[in-house]
Amino acid sequence: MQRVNPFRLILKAILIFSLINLAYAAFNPQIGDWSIYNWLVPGRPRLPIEGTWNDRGFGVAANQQIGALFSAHQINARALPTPGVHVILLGDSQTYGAWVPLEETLGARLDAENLVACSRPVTIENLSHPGPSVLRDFLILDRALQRAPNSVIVWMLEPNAFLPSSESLLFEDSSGASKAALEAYGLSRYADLPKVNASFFDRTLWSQRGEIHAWLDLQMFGLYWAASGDDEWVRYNQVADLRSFEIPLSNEPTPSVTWHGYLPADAPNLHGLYSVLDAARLMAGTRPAMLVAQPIFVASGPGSDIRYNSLYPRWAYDDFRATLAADAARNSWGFLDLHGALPSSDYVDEDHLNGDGEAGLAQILAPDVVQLACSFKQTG
Amino acid sequence: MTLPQIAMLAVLAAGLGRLTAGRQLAILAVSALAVFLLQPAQSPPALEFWIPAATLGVSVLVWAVTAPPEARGWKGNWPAGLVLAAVILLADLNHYFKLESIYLVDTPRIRYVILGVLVFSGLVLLLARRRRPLSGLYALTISGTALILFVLKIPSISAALLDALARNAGVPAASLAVSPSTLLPAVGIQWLGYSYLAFRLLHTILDRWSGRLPGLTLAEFASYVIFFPSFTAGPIDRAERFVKELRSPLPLVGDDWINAGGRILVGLFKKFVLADSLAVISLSEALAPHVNGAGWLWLFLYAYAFRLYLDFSGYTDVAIGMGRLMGIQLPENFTAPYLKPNLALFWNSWHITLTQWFRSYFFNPVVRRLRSSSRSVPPWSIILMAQVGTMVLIGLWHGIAWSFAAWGLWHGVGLFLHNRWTAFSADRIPNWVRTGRVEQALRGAGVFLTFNFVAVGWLFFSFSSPLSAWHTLMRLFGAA
Repeated sequence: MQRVNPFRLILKAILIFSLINLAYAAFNPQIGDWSIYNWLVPGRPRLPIEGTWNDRGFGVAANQQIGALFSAHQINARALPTPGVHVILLGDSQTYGAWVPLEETLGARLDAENLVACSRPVTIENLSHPGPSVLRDFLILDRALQRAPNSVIVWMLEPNAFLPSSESLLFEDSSGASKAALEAYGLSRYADLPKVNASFFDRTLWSQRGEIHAWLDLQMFGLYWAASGDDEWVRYNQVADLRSFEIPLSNEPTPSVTWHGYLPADAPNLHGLYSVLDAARLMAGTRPAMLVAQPIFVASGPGSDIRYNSLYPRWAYDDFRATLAADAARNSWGFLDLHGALPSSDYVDEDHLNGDGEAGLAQILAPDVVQLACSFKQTG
Repeated sequence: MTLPQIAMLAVLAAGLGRLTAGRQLAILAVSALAVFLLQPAQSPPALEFWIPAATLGVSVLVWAVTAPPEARGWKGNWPAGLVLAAVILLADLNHYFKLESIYLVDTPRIRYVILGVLVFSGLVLLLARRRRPLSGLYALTISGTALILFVLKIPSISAALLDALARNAGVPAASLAVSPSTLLPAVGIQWLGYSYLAFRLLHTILDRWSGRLPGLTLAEFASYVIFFPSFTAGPIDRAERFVKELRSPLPLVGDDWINAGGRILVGLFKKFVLADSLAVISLSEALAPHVNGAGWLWLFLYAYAFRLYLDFSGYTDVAIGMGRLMGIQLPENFTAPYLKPNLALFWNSWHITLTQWFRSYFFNPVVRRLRSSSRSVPPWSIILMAQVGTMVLIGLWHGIAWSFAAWGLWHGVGLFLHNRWTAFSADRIPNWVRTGRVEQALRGAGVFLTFNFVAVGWLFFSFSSPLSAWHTLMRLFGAA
């Protein structure tokens, strides 16, 4: 038998490995666009929150390709009634409704109302995702408008969505579309974020292995979704129950003025990410939109003169409300301030609603959604 | 084992395979270090040091009991003893080096470890001085080895022991949650690899007792029982075969490098890509209540069946590939088990080395004993007792619980029925059935039936109680 030189063998292996990686990067297959959802299994009514899990733990969906998440959503296949209006619902965990069953979420409640706006049926597309991030919402909006151009926008927001740290909630995107969107709308300073970067090296098979794994898992979660009608695989197995992030209700917040280390004097310096709203206005064009200062639990005991609750000192939330209102006015968008709109009994914790809360919120929002959809001028 | 651990050990295996001098001791040292490295985290953390140390200790003790006088000499064994002691001390030194990324930081104080090693060495020397083999000592060692296995495998005892140890250490006992990432829930003390270690040790003691085991040096014996590629998940090799290749490694020529490396890569793909992906939808006690409809239940049951196979056989592929890099051909553990047309052939190709172990040390002796019994025992009842007994014991090897016993019973009864059917049909099936397409079709039907019988059996294996497994079984057939 011929003796094999292991060094030559290793060299050849490295060469083949490099060639496969280069070829993968050159072709840059968008595997996120391939999906069993809306084909073998129904599309989901919410964007998936499951990421990759393994023996070391559970990764949230931020390690998913944004394309794969959209391919899993019903918006990817849902036909818009003619004539009709889509409502793109953006927001964080409160809007997502991680604390209530799927049928009790805000999106499901509004959809179940079978709203009709000026003789046009309204369909709700819940495109919220846990974790507040206006930049992530912007990139979701970019995708959503490509899939559902006949849409109006309802954007639920809270101050944390404008914190620089919220950038960590972006999804992966090897297609370069997120980077292109940020550049196209003057947000290119964010295009260097690792998760929206799409350099040649980012597109190699080696760099993409985590995303491929996450994509494969996402297809598997689809089978569970089809078999159970439960779109939260993470909930049944209790690997990463979102409820573990609960902030217990307290009527007596610690009377501190700091917010993530910031003081009232820092407020003007925290407005950088509000420019994302202006960019979104440009992206939306003539489509009507409404910004909503989402409801939060308002404490009434000692310390509540300084803070609304343990999440927000009054100055931070009030500055947010004022800035959001001004931005909405500047962009000719609607604005709804719901900060104290719901009773404390509607909250499961300081930031999240129970089933009654979601129902109450839907009731408050429904007339405004109808009005917004009425103002939409069909283009197609 | 994690991916980085496997990668590191594969590189080490390739290096060890090229050594021309000191190979045996180097394999022993790496294997002993791997015992510490691979031990899973638990609380109290001191167990992460003491359990691997006990693994080495038990191995040395059993060697001292089983080695014949000519293999027990000081001259031939002091280097291996030194290597094992050095590995224990090196592991303990991390208390001072604090290399958390490599190994446990909070190891015991070195003075206790040195004292322990010295006392233990004295005990081993005392054992090694005896002249004649002592049956009582063999029986005692077998009982001790089995008792540890027994304690570890009874969840309530193991958990109570862990609680007691944790209380004594003033820390909370680790409560390991059942998650889809675990094929079997981990409860109580996690003594990594002890199920396999115990069976290798029992094999050596029983074979020494019957005079079949050749004399092995400490380096050979310890390398056999803790050989790092097969330490955690088998296969369970035979000592005499293993040591033959440890002494004279198979040459790595021609495509051997490619085959060994390819085997590792195939194993990694099976475990980390296929099995881990199927884990999401593998039927489990937690998942079953959420699933609507028998069709989905069947699909998820199949997912579990393939996940189990891919996970387990993937690790075996890695072990065989690593072994081959070191010139040691470990035995196969799986040969396309789900493609077998009957249950007997399935058990000849699923976890082969474990089945062979039970065949050698339980099934065959029981059958011999019953056949030679003075009372006349009908052949069918001998088969029934031996097969059911063997399969229930194989079930209990995974954990002493009703569900594993039920799984063993399921297969024991299945094997017995197959045996009776084979005996019944031997002279009754016409020849035309045994030819051409009819035979192929029957074989296909056999594969289908066998696979589904095995798959349904996994319900008992993976659920915590036979009752909940039975309830899901009924749902599979639309009866609940």
